[in-house]
Amino acid sequence: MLYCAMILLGATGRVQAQFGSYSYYSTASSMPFSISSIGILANWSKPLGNFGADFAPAPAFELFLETKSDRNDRFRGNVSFIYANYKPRLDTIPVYMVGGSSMMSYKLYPGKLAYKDAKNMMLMIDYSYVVVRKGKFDLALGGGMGIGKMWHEYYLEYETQLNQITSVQDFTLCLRAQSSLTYKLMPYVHLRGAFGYQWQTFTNWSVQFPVRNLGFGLVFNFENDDDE
Amino acid sequence: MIRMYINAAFLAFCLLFSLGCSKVQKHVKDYYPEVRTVSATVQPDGSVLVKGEVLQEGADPVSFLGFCMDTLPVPGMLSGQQLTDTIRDRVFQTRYKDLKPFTRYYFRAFAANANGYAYGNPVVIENVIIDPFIIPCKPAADSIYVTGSLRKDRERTYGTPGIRQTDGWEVKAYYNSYVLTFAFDNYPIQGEYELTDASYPVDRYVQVMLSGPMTFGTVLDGGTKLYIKPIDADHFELSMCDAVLSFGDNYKISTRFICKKEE
Repeated sequence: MLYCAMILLGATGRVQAQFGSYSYYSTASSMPFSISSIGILANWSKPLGNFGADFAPAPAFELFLETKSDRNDRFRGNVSFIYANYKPRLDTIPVYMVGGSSMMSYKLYPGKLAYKDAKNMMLMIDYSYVVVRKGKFDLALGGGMGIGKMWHEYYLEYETQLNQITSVQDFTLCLRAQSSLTYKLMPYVHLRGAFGYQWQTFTNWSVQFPVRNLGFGLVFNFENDDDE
Repeated sequence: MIRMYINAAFLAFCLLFSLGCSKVQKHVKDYYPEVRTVSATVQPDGSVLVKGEVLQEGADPVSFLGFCMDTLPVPGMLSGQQLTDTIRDRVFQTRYKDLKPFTRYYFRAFAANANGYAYGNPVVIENVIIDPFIIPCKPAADSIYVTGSLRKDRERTYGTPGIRQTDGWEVKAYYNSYVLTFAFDNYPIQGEYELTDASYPVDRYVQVMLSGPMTFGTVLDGGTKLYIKPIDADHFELSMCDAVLSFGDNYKISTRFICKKEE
């Protein structure tokens, strides 16, 4: 999986993924990529849109590996694993169903929707570019995509209809845009703040789950950046 | 050069994403509409006009507005639901017809958007009766007046209990050997009705027929008003002013009597 991710990140160049003593090479390239750091971000993840009414902001944890094409390059790629567990904002959400075929015959059927929670796991591949590099600060803009799975259980009831308790595991496709500010605290340790917008859709394409993330974390470099 | 293209594409991508952002509401109630039930007033025709006001749309535009009504406090959405698609200055309204007099009704506005729905406060009407009840003529109680070129009678009469027909409900008033039959679509509630010569009157129309030795069941001309005034839960007063009977010469018939409602 990691190998595939690295190939995606360096699709136009030679891929060299190094982690510890392991190295992977792709033969059709001339641009080297290597895993230069590992990091963790604790995000404050706010669901937006209709899901903002349903789910409260929740912490989302992101573990990532970062690559650089070379030391002086401003391009970098990330492979991230993200986990979040969103809790409902209300015990029961006042939902409704529309019956009838025209405005004259519409009828609203009130209902109740109760979520237990929504666990979200994703594997993301991001690509970012350092637009500003000043002193110990790097400001980067980036975006990426990923796949994952969301588990949620809910209870849905409409008046005049049978009650439903449904547990759903749905595959999700995710796109995101992110800006990050990195501060080189120590040669091997950087502080990072990130702000991003994430958009997910599911097997049922009509459902979308937009999220805004604000995160802080640490990045551990395998190499001393001061050597640059 | 390639990097320039990559950066341009990337920035466009970021821009598109940022356009998709929407505001996160701090309070969960801000996602839902907020409405209040403004008033419920009895109209001259006996209907009840209910008004509501949208105080706040919520995070998404309001997609449905309506009212619910019940004789029990705090009516639910499915009880007497009426939707409306007209809103002016944040105020929307609907009209409930044919409500029973001497009955307490509760009304509640509601609004729904993409996130869910919300109710307004309940408003109660203790007694759905028209006040003041204005009848333009005032025939003497329990009487039938017939005026015309040939005769001018006043006879004592009474209304019979309602007799259900296959397609409606009727009341009869008698004078001499004549019978006035008032055929309604349903039990008359209160307010104005209009005479019609249609065989099957509907809604607020009533067919009035004079039967007797000379007329053999002649339907009175349409257009004249007839008034139903509730007296109590079981009785109503029926009044009719100068209804035209085109039978050779024109006759005008007025009447007023009390009838017991029976179902």
